[in-house]
Amino acid sequence: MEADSDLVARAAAGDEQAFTELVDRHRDRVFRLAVSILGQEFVGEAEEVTQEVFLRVHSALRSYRGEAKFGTWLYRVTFNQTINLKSRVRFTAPHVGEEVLEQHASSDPDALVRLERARRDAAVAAAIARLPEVYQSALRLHYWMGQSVAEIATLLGVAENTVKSYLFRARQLLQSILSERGVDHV
Amino acid sequence: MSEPEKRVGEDGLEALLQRALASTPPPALPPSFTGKVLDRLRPRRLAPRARRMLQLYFAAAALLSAGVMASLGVDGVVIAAALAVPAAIALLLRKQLT
Repeated sequence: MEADSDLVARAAAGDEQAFTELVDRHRDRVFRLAVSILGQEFVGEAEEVTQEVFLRVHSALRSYRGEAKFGTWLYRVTFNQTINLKSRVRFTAPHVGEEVLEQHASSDPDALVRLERARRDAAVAAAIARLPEVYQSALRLHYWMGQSVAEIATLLGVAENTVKSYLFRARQLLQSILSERGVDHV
Repeated sequence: MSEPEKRVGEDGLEALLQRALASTPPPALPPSFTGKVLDRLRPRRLAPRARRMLQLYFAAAALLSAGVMASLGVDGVVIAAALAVPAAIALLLRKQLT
């Protein structure tokens, strides 16, 4: 398989095939990182950010000096661009009111279980949204997308031990937020 | 809610996170994604017929302007400059965009 650095050199010289190969190689990781920052409700926006990242990277290929690995640079651009978007546009999950949840309830015992689960999932999502960005991202990558610690480390550009500490701290904070809100029935 | 359910533990939190976050399947990009990115990179070009129409329009407009200015007694050098400057700017912009 051709190295990223060779593809970058060819793409910078105007080779569209080389750039296509770079997009195909990295698109899923870039998207996963973007969606892990924005959250489950914003998949469409994450796809848009992913496109923007590749357009930006294409226009910056000539200035890419190769000091960092292409992947590291690309994921850093993705992280910054997604955080930028998140800070410019207020991303909040659509509010699901109690009355909407209760409409789904019926005398069926399973329905009550489902209602309770939906409430708890909403509380967890709200608690995650209160964590620092990098913790949110690490949690979603790990628990939602099933990414390994090594993979998360690559995407976030940090050491594996740092990811482990992010996950540990995130769980601690989450536990205290959920306890505050009385969602400690786990 | 029963008492044992109220206990908070690492394992419980782990399970809660897995249940809450994994309830939605991880999203994936559509197969057409790479094509969309490449489409946005390619310069947009007018259809050949539309380009020809536009070129004819500009040529006619330039000739008409030159004719009107000449009939008003404007100096030939000024007429040439009045037509050449916008043409040069248009060519420069075109070069930058492609």
